[in-house]
Amino acid sequence: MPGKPEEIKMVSNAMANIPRRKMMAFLVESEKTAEEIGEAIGKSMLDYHLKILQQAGLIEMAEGKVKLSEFGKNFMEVKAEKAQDASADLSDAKPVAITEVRQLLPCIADSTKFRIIANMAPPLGGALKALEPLFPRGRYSERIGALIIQRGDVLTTVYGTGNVTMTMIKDEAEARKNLERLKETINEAIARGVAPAPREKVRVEPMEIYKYLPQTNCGECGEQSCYSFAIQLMNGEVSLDLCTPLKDPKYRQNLEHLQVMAEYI
Amino acid sequence: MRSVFYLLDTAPYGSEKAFGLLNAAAVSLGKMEVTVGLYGDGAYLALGDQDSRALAIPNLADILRAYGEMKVIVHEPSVVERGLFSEGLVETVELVDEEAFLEAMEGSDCLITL
Repeated sequence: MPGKPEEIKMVSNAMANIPRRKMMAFLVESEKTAEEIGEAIGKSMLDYHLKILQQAGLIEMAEGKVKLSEFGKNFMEVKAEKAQDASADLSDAKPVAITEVRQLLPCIADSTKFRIIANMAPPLGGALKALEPLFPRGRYSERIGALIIQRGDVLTTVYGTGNVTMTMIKDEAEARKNLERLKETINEAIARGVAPAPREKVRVEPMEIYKYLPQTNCGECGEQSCYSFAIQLMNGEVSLDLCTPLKDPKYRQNLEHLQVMAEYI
Repeated sequence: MRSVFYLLDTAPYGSEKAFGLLNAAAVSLGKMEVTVGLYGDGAYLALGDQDSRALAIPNLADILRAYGEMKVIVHEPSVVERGLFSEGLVETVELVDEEAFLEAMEGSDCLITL
């Protein structure tokens, strides 16, 4: 069973691939033959993917049958539990400190603003998930192991490895102020030692989306007005790509805001 | 929207190719569908724990994290051949097999390599 850091990383890399994630999910149901897996997921590079999963200790293969190993079963069970259980554990988390602000990079939409990369230590790892309810617009992404927080125009991503990125930052002083506030919020929760109770998320409203749309009611998206487009966007019926005027450079900033908001719809 | 595939097949440090390519990819975001593909020695760019301070140049892994919306795929056989499969990778990258990498490259409207 993987236990050493390099073995754990091997498992993580084995799961950093879409077809292999699908194969693992397929094998949760029952053991399968390679042919069955090929038919359900795709035959392309099948042997290769099975070999990678086997090397990572996630599956076992014998007499033409493929099944999850004991470790693979546990791995998938824990993953499913984590997805449902918002009350991850904070008991092992240590108070964090901002160790450095490493880089300022230009923002895409607004050249007067920056994206910053900083570091928070010690890394919070999976405990980040437990912190999600602290932030009205916070979402933990299992795929990248990061907590994504929206506050005003600023989008902050805190990775389990301790890296922190922020968008739409005016200067380093603003970055440090935001990081300090983030650190205090996290440390207060860690000091209490219990995961904050899940609270209702702040929903994105159509009017908020409408505010950033071109408001030309051009109809190119197939909707009668920008407001109905906003409603459809909220319902997941349309994608932002359909709004062609948004591609105009003068709306770049609006587009970036909308892309951020789309994360919370 | 046009799609563009930025291919990096050289080591990330030692030349300005990777830095230049990432900058070009970053400014294309929002205007084009951008995919960055790491192949051959370019796979080293996917390593999560990079420290370029001694070289006095930006940490390129940080650039991948800062532009988290940038789609970055890594040719997995290149990762395996270089013994990097048991190393921690940048969180936002996706490992893809030979065929999926080729498909993403061929499926893009244009291909840029430095």
